[in-house]
Amino acid sequence: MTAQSRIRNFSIIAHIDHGKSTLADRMLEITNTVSGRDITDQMLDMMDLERERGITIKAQAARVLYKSSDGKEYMLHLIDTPGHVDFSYEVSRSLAACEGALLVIDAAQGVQAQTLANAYLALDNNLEIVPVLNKIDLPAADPDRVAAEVKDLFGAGAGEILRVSAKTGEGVGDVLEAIVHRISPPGGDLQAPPRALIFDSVYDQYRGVIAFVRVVDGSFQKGEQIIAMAMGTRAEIEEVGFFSPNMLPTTALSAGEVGYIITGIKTVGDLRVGDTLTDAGRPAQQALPGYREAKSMVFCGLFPIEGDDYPALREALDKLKLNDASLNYVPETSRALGFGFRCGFLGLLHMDIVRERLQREYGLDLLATTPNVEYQVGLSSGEEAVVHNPAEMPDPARIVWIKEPYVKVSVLVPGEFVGAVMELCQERRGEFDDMQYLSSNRVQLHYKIPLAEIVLDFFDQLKSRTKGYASMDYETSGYRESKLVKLDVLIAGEPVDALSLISHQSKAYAQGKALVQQLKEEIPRQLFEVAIQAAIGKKIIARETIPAKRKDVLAKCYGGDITRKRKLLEKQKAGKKRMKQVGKVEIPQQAFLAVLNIAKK
Amino acid sequence: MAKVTHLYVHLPFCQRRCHYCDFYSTAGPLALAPAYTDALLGEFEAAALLFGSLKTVYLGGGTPTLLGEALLVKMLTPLLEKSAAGAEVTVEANPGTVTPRLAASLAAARVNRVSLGVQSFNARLRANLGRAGSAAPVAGAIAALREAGIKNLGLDLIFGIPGQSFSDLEEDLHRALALKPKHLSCYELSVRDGSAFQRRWQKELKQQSAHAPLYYETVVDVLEGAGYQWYETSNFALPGWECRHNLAYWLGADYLGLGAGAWSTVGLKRWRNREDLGAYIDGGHGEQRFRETLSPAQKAAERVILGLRLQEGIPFAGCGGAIDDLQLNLLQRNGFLETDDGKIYLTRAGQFVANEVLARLLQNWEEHGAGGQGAA
Repeated sequence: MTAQSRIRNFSIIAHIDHGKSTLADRMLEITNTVSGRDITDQMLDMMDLERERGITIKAQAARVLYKSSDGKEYMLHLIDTPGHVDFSYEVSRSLAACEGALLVIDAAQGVQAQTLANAYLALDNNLEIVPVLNKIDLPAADPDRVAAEVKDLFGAGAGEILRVSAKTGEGVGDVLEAIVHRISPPGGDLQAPPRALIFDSVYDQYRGVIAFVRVVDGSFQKGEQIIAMAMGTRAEIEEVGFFSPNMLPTTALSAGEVGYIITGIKTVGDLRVGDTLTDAGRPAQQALPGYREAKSMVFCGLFPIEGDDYPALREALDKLKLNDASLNYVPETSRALGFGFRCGFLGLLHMDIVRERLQREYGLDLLATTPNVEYQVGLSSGEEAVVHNPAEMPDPARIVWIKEPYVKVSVLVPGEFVGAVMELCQERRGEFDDMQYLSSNRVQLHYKIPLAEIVLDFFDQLKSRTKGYASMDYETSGYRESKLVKLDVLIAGEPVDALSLISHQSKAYAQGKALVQQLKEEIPRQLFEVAIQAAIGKKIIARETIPAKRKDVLAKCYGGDITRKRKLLEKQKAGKKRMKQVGKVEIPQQAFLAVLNIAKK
Repeated sequence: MAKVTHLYVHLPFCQRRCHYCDFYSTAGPLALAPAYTDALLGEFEAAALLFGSLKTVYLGGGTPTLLGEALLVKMLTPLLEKSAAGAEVTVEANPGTVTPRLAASLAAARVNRVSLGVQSFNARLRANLGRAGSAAPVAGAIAALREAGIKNLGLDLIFGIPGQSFSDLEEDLHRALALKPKHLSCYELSVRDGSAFQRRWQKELKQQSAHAPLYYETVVDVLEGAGYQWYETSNFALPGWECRHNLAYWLGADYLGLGAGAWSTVGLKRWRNREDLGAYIDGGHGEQRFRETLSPAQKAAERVILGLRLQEGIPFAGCGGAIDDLQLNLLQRNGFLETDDGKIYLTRAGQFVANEVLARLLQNWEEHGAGGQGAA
């Protein structure tokens, strides 16, 4: 057992692409934790998706043994955190498992919104911050300017700002020294009833759930009975160990150490991020602070293109859920799309990841409906309803009020784009809070914006209107009453539930009009004239007509043409199969995303 | 197996290739025509056992009349020995090649139907198509053929030509009608994807395709107004003057095709001779580039695909269950097809959107059970 005075636990905070994983890799290499030949780019990002997107979805950890210039050997625990706002709760738990954090900033790009958000999160957790300017080898690097920015933001508390190139290795040794000398050692009570914070948990098909833990007090070893204090889950420890970065079993994990605990429990929902493990025989009085349940923020319907795939979709979701406690889903039946699931996600990235994994790892062809948020609805009966699906919005006559979630958005942008950002926020019903100059040419804007206005393409718009310079972050900011209406779409007189959307009264007419126009573009001519209408309640507010197909003939068909014709027909039929038959109208899949395009307007 | 009574002969010689044409033909080596004629007759001999008494013979191309009367007569003589009395014998002709002498020779060789490829009377549009010669000889050719006693004359027109206006189309139709042919074929120009012609006229073709519904309706209206029957998707005839050879295709009869690149269908077998003039002459007429064995389901589907091109439709009995009853009902209720007296046929509205109607009718039919395919 290593004395706590020789242990340092830290995480790395960085904006996407600022080189977090590269720096981690370099530290593993310098300390010989992994040999050069085992280094794949970004060792710690394990999922294919993570490598491709260059993001971290699940927290990872590694134990590094480092001989410092003072001649002593230290045990450093690196906890690599997910960097996206969707996973900010996971980030906060990872940070809670540390005493310090490296704040990695691209020496060319400077401080970004996400960096700030996570740095503040670290400060809230009383972490020691070690600022590191990375990529100083780049021609565009301007470390002096960025260092001044960091000083402006964090004051003298930022201490010495390190300058490194994780790519070349320059300065990485200084980072290791700074970890040892600037970050405090853990101060747990070895004699107290054991407590460990779960900062992540993953499911392994052979081992069951692997809980990633930071032991705060006491110690854990094989054979002990433990309890997860929030969930009440009881289990026996089958194995404890640490990450090097591959899992290595050990005899015990003691106060201050980071490692894993395997119990044979089969779902991550039983060992949740933020929960506290303790000894069932000698339980701690108090759980570690900060546990909360993951709450779905964004919802969408997922439907198999082929109705026969429904059982496969259910099975795939069940499997993903084993590894993702924050994924929620309930069966949904759509008149237009058949059987599927209404799924709840932490945010847009989370939704994208789940959808992509379902398609990629489970080979499912899916149709996803336009994402929406959760609404609270007050009914004239005095009851309140929670609505996750626009199609389920009650009849307007029964509604007294509707509340929608708001978020507090923070945008960091060069001064010249402030106007563009304000314009965007206003288009999205944003409410201005404040504006601060962080440096002579970096402005931080705060707005309160309905989440519904963010989930569609706010981020894309922000990027395109600021030439990619803006960065943003957001946190929830409660529910507020809004004048919202449900916009329905009728195709050939039949309401198509999957196309309904909730719209703000001020935008409903414009959106209804845009929606029917967009659908007119997306739906091919049919044998019949097809009316497309947008309605609020019983009132039709917009209408377009798709004229009937006038001509679709193969001009010539003699001898050999027939073989070709048969194949053409197969193609035409295959095209039809990819459409959804709604009443007598065939609707291509992309039409269901038309809502996406117009809701942006 | 029943004997084959319909014969197609492919003569792949052209003065020059039209830019849009997708048939197998070569411009130039007319010197090979005598050898090719011999090879054709060789293939005919070899296949003799398959033939019954021929009801129709069709010489297509290419430009068959480029061969000249001597070779044509040489070729036709043994074929006609196998023909029934009253057989329909058609030769495709380029108007510019029809002299009174050729007309007389054809008539003497018992040719009783000539199909003249005009495509358009408009010089500018002909140039855009890359057609050789002008349309000036059409009237003369018709006169010569009538003089020689060949009364069953057909004209081919194309619409949707790059540069064609609505009035250009009307003029083509009226000029064709003024010649009083028994038969008119009017095709919308079809262009192979990825062809140079398509690249050359990309924008113009898109515009033409936007006009196509109006043009097509105009063709039908004008020709029906002149007393012609719209008996097949793209074919019009005065009553009683339909092309019997082509009817055989659409009714699903067996046919044999001789010559390089020619297709044959006998029973469930379909094949195509290699499109290689030289190899064909060198005794390669047995070589096939493509062959397939149709499943009964495919055959049934083909019966539907082809038969519904005809105004008279097809008997239900030939459809072999390929048709989806629900769709049949829906389409009938909405006026796209009719059933009557054990037959099924498309209405006028149905004809204009035949592809869509077929895709619906055959929606549950699967292209399965195909036999051997591919190169020989």
